[in-house]
Amino acid sequence: MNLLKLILSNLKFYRKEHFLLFIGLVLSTAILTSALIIGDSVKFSLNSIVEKRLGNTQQLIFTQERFFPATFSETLSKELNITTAPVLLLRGMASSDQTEAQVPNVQVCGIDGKFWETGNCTMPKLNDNEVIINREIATKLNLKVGHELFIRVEKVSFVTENAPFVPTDNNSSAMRMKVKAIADEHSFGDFNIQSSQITPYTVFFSLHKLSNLSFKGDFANLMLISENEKLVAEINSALKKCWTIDVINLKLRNIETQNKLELTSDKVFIEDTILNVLQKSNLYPEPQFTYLINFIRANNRSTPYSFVSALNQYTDYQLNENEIIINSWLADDLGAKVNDTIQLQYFTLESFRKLEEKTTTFVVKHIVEIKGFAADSLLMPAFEGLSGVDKCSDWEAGIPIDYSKIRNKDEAWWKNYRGTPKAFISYNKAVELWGMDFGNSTAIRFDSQADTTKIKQTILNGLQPSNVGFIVYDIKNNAGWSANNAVDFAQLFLGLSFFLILAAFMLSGLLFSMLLVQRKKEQGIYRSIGISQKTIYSIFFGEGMLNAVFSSIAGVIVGVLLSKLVLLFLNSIWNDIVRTSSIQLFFNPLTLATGFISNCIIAGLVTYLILNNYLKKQVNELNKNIHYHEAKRTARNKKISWWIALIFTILIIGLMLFSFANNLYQNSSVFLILGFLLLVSLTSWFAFLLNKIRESKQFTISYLRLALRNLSFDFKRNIIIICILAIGIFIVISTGANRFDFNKNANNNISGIGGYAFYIETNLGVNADLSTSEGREKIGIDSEYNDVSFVQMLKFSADDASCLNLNRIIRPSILGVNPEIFSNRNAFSFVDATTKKPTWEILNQSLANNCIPAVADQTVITWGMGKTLGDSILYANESGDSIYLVLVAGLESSVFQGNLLISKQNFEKHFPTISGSNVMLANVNSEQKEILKENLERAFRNYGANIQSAPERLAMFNSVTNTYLDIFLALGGITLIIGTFGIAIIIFRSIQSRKSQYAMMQAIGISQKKIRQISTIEFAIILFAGIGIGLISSILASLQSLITANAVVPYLLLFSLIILFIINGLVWIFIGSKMSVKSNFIDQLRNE
Amino acid sequence: MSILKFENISKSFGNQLILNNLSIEIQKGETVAIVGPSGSGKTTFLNIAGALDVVDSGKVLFKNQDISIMTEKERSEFRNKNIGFVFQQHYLLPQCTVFENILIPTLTYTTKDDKLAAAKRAEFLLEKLGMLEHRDKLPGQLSGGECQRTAFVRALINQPELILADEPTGSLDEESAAKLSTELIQLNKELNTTLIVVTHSMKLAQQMNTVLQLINHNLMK
Repeated sequence: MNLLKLILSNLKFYRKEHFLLFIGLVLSTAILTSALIIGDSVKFSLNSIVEKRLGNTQQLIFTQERFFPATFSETLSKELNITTAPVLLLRGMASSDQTEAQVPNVQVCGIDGKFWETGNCTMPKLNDNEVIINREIATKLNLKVGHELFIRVEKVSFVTENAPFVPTDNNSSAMRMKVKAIADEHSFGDFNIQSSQITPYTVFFSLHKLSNLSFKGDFANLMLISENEKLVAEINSALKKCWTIDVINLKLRNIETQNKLELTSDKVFIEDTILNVLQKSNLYPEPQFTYLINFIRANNRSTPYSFVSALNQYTDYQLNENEIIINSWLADDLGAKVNDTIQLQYFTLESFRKLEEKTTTFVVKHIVEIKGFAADSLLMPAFEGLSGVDKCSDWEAGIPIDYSKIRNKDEAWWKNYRGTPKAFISYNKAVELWGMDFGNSTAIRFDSQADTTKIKQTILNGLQPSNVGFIVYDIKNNAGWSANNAVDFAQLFLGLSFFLILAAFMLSGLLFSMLLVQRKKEQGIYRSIGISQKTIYSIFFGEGMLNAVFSSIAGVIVGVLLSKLVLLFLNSIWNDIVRTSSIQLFFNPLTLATGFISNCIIAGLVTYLILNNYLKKQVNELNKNIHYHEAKRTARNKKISWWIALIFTILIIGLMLFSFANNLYQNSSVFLILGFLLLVSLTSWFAFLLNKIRESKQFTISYLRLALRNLSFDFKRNIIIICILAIGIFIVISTGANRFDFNKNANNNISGIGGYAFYIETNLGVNADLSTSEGREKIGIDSEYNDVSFVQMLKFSADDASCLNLNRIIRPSILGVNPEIFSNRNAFSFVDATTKKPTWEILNQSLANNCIPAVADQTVITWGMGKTLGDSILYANESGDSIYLVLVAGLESSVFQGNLLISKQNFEKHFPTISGSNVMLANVNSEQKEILKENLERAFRNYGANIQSAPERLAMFNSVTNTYLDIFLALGGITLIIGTFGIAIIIFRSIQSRKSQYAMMQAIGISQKKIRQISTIEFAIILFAGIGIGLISSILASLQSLITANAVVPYLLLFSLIILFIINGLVWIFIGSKMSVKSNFIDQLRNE
Repeated sequence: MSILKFENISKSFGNQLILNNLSIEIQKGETVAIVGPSGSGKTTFLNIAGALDVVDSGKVLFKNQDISIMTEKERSEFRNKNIGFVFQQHYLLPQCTVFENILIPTLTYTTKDDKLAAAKRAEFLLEKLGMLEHRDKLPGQLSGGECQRTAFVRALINQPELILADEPTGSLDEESAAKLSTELIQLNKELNTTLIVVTHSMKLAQQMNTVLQLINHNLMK
């Protein structure tokens, strides 16, 4: 016989007891390992998704609303000796004859063969009537190869819709296309440049076809740069090396009549950055600004619809800002003379193409003949609906034209002089009156002697690509970072199962401790035959560790199976938290080893601590120090319990006072902490009470007293079970009580829906002011809904930082909002970060240069971006300047989740070409809600609208939280099961160890019924103390949620669960107490 | 006056006959020692006398009341009121103090006065046995003799008329056993209870009024 043989034989003999211990340890390892495997699997899957959605793309250039010739992609490819693919990335909506479903948010890609090369696949070449669709849209619309797809695609233009005199009525093209092929995840069908695990619905057109719906020629706004070692800086310098002015939509032409060279832009308005570059040179650029004036009035006469130009300088004239030069035709028409006052009546364009008619008065400085600069018809920019039109009555000017005011003489002027300006003002005055954030000149002229090459080089050398929207993104690395820093499911599941793992370890420790007590005699035998304390220690530690090793191996195997089950749930009933079915199981051997080793270490530590403590106690007993030690131990335990209870009670009171003093009483986290502190405090008070009972001396005895004596005798064991039960109840109640139903609080303005009925998100921007009847009419909203108010917001599309996206987001989408609207309405509410609650005015505050105040949902700040208030997020504005969005406040959970909010004013300043609102809120009374929704769906059908009830949207975000709560609830339920299992174990163990006591009591005439009562009271106290402590603390933890109007506490479910567990516990107690009194108690006495 | 009378009782365990047609009458205040070899049926005799076990045939009369026909509930009440048991093991509850252990048989008391009277009696008995100073100690803090003395006081707490002791000194050293035997007999005398002791110890047996030997399934003087 050697030590190992003895240990093995002990394990065999005490196999039932070790099996229970084994089960406890298997449970803890399995949960630990599965949490780690889930974490690895989610990370691995997100990285796989990055590969699938980007293919070989390493970097990309995304110019958003600027369109460059597709051939430039080839030029850059040659320059860098790498593969590039031009893409025209637009938005659209689709439907099919196969199903009634519609897809409002389609990603429309114009591609060529290079695109599929980037995706490492080959696809058939597309004719003009053919498209390739991805698997997602094919499934959604039930489409197969050969079917027809009805698709509406946004119509884009070089000119921003925020520019005046641009027709905006025809903003999309609809067509039927034949499905040529279906691209799945292996054939680049998951293409997506946004960091998201959700595959967008995508339709691939030939670049030529898609581009020619909007332009003459092939243009793109996205360039994919394939796998290469180049750095962003290198690509930038290559860009600068090979680009030409036509890449940035500029044209240089010779105006022979004026003896000038003229720089114009396809965008009509030339960016100030270009003008600034030229002004710094010695080329003497002459910016010009030409504008359409509704009426020029003088002497009670008026001339309709005339162009007025502003030149930088006039060769023979000097103009002050309130002076005007008019031509002789206009002077005749108005009967105006020098020094007469003249009024210009014109439209200016506000947000969402809201027109404001203004009038400015000038003094006539000169009257000029129609010659020289005054006869230059080319001063009129190439406005799409104006130039090339034969008659004024055919104008499509993007403004309301009163054609009745156009006289024959005006038609005659148009016929003879086209858009030749009739008047001239100073350039500075024009910029003041009509200037726009995206450009303050419609042309820049140079002396005809100027060197065209020099002009071009000055522009190209002076600009950085980012100044004109050519921003190179290190997309693969960024996406990899986002995936690797995504929601850490390992941490999340470990956090969620922490208490369960703790309970499993506590139970295992308890079982081991009970096994030691059970084998007290055996230890005495070892000692009596001269086996040293160290060897006895080794025997028991060896048993514990062997069990730990084997249970850890089994636990890892069970953990693998458990993680498969969890993944099955994540891809099905828990899908709300991942929003993809692409999460694959991934095993990292290191993770499995971590699960195994961690459990062995913890189990070893628990074994060591229990054994050490127990054997020390045994030595004291042997040394007859029992009296001293017993009393000392009880006193010490009582003291420790008292101090812990007192400290935690003080902490609770302190935190409560602090919360009230700092208005933190609305913070649910505070209550959760308070609840947990109370749990510890109450458990400690109970432990103190038990020790007090243990110390106390009484003159009489009763059944209750005897039960309490029993309780106090095994105080540590009982406290562990009470803890497990209390924690289980705490988890179940506090998770259950934190569920929310946002329909309940829909009319409350300070809620996360702001009291709005609908959250409308459109794929195409709505360029109409919905606060006006004209705007509504334009969109098609029935006049009966005139009392419906809309809040329109501008959107800079980037990544979704909401909880629906698992990736860690660097730059979320930005919404430009009007803070005054929300402020007046007292809509939404901010998280109290300081003693002063923030208000919407915070978005209007001035910060340092290039810093913009921004707010976001606190959850997005904390979890989506991993930031805190005061942090900033770097963006590049449309001029390529770095802007810092400083997080100045956090919103309570709202419908804006996933976005950063800045003021509309700041938005328009930095993103001036983004036109139309893609996000809207609608407010309507509840009776009209359903009818309005139908009307809105009809009105916005060509905009690819997703009209969500605002509470539903919030509930969608909340479904993530609710799913986590479901998981936590399930884990809490398992903890409770362990708790009741623990009760069952201690009941049977106690009865086992007290058999002789019960037999003696029967012998001396205590009836079976009374003996049963004693054990029932004892174990019922444990059960109800655990449940009671858990219940009281969880009620405190959930108090904030319970009093919140939109909390939907599933009282019945929680009540049923608790009752179920009480019944379960009582059943064990009943069985146990039945077993405590046996008819053959005499045998027991005889055996003893 | 007869306190306990066995009339032709027989008891078997399976096929093994333990007691055969045994008859005996024990008078109030008498002290009786039952001796005999191991397995002779001494403890079975004691268990039947204390209504812990039932007979196969015959009658057991306690003060002329037939206890062999009682239900388990009745026997339990009977034991509580009339019998005091002392076992070879003390069977003290480790979680209760000496005083509480002594009062365990009084759990059936319903009135406060009864409980207070029992507590006073416990104090008196403890004092008698020189155990009062140990009243608040736990059994784990006592010596074997002290534990057995506590068990003896517990047997006396309900003022039973009959004390049944099964090897009461069996687990004690010689000195402690002798001391306990003396105390047991003396206290029995003072309280005028009847004492039946099953023992292997001839020293203890000889201190009793009557010594009966259990041989061949029957008692012989």
